[in-house]
Amino acid sequence: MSSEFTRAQLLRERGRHPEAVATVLSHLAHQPEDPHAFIELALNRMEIPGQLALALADAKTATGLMPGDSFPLSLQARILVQLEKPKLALELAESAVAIDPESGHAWNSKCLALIGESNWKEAEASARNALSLNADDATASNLLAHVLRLQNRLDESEAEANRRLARDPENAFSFANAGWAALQRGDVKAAESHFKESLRINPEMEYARDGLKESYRARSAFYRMFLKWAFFMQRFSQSNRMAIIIGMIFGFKILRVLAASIHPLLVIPIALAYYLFLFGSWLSGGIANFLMLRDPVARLALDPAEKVEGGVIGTLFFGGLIALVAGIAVGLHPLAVIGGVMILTTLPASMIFTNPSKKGRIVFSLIGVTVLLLGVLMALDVASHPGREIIADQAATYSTYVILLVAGSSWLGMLDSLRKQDPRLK
Amino acid sequence: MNLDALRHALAASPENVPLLLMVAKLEEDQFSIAEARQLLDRILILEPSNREALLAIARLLDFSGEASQAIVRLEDLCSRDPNYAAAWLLRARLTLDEGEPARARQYYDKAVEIDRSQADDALLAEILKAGGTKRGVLTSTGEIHDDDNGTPFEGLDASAALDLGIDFQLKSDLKFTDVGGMEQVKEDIRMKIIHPLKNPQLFAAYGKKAGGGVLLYGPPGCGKTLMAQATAGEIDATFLSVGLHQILDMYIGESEQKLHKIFELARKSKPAVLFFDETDALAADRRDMRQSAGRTLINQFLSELDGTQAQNDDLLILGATNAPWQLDGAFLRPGRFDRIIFVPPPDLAARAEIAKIHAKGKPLTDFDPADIAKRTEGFSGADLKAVFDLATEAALSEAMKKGTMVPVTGKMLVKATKDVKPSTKKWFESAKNHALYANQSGFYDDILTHLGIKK
Repeated sequence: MSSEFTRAQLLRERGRHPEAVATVLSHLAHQPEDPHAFIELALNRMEIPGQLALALADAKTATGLMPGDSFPLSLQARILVQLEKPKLALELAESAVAIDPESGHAWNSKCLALIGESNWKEAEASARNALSLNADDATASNLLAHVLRLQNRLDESEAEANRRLARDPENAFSFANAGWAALQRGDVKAAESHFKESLRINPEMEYARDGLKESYRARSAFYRMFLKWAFFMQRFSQSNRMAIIIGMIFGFKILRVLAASIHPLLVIPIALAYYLFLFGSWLSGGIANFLMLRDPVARLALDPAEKVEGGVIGTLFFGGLIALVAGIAVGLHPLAVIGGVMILTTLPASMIFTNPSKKGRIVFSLIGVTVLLLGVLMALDVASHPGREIIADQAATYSTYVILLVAGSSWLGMLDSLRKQDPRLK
Repeated sequence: MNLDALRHALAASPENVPLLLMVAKLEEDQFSIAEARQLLDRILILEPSNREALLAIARLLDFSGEASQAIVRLEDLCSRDPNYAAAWLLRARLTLDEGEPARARQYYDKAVEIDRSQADDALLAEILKAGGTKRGVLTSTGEIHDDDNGTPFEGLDASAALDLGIDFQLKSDLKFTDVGGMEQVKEDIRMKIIHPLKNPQLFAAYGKKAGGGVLLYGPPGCGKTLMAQATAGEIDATFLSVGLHQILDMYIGESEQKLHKIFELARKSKPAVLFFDETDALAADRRDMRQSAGRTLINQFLSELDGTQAQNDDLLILGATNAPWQLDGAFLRPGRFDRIIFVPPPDLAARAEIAKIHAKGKPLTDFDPADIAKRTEGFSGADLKAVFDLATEAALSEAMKKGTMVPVTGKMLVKATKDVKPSTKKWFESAKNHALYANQSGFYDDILTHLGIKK
């Protein structure tokens, strides 16, 4: 092993990935066909933002140089999981397992790929396989706790996290797993405490930071309701989730018809519940962020974009609500119109500030601004025609556009290209 | 090379100085002293201060047994051209021959300081053998004077220091006045380092002792190393610097011994500042170490810091790191790196100073360092350099298009300040997480204050 290669490993251990890459490249200049150097390159590039594609190419080269070894294949599978290609990752992880059924790394890669595919049962089996090879495999133990929680088997998940913590009391991932299990159980205080412990050990762990934010948000009952819904949905595969949503839409329609046949007023609470659910799932994050802004400790957990989102959504929603109620109460219809439009604008606005897709941010910003402008035009039209039916003539046209844009933004929000970051840039 | 052919070429081009030098060297190699001297004299007629010719004449004089004359000429050459390493090296050799190993050592150190490639282990060994163990102390003005502190590296230790590759020759004459702005950091260093070292009795009366370990941390490129050098200059101490690559080398072989030798060298040259750049690489968290060799080295480092094997009085151990969170907690206990100083990005005054430094030697118009400083909040020294590089590239590109000299304008600099993003932002994002969630001992309070989270 050359001293440059050893130096590169030391640099990686110390989190100096760009320097490690430079050192491995220098080693490769002398030994251009060293597969271990390509593995080292891949391991480092996986940690450098925007270099996942390069890491994959390195792992592929290493596979070509040592085709009988499971590790480069398993590594490729992990990179592909990060690139959000779980199907391909699963194929490679299975090849790695076939080459070396005693490789814990390969079983863990398979588990990760299966998690990416939302196949919890088989993911659990893979994690258990890795643990049967090495009962002290921290990654396998943490993955098992995670996948048990995803199946709502909270007691088992917590037991696995505690088993890990008994062996390694400084395992940040295990604390985070325990935190998520507590959150899913509804024990917000315990969740907060686990996440804080996890972050004390590793303050940069995104999984724990997200958990802490969720537990702060879950202090509001409104948000807890939507969190419960999210935890319920995560138990199912993608296709089953879609089936549940479609079922709910049809279920609502049937319920509305049934309610109307009993008494017309019965439709109101059903419609309210439906729209609260529909809007709530979009707005709950932004409103919870707004509530968090009022807490001097919790607000520190928010990143700048979440703070802006909280401020904007909170102002639009609560400001809009006040304007709407006040406008109706005092008969100041233009004010009520503005209030209503502000509330509707929260929907596209909820997809602007924390949206990792740049394209998405632009699209939803344009929609949001257009809706607000149309709202102003509507209010002006209503103000210039006192005594007329509120939504008529020009105002009616504007309101149609507003509804189309808001409804359209909820559909556009389902497009990955407008809601997700290109995984290659991660 | 064919000497005859070159002689013919010279006949055709008698005033070609490089050719004259080449032929003179070949004549010298063939011990044709007189011919070589004649050619060198011709060069001096054409170029009276040609340093290669002057050096070669000194060499010829030495060959001819006129060493004292050669030394006089070298003395003159060194004073005329103090950065000419080859002249210092020859002067060291001749001075050693004259039986003055101590002076020879000073000249040798000067030559190597100017140009490391001049290092000649055989000559150094001869000097050391003859008793030239005392280091020459250098200042940034290039002058040499005796090390009056009487803290020489003994015999083989000097060679060992060279082997270790640590920078042990430089005695820093950089002072705080040479570092613009950063008054808060300077004040912290004065209180935590300089006053205790200068008034040890007073501090002892309060149960505090001088020396020990101080950790400087902050975003990269913000002057931690510069501050460490200036600190050494302020307390007039020897400055020994150990960088990342020497640290990594320690993990590769004979690690503990190497580390022990470095500490021993520092102790022998007390008062001294032993500076570990990128301390996190050496003092990394042992939980992250897969190799047991790494853990042993860290234990050795802890033991050296504790001074269990020798006293560390008057030895200041300074560490600098961009990633204090990667340090093993054991390093932060009392007696080790127990004083922590946060070095933030350069403030307004420091940025103006840095801008002036980068502006030196560049054709500039409408340059307002205060304006650049105002526009570069959060920029590190390295970011400011990037601003000047970008503006210079813009001027160069315009010059290429116009075919004439185009100065770097204030406008170009302002545009560059918009194009360069402050690199410290990412560091503060990480630092904020550590300060919020892992600040049990108040280690990161300065970061919280800097970010405006804590008053």
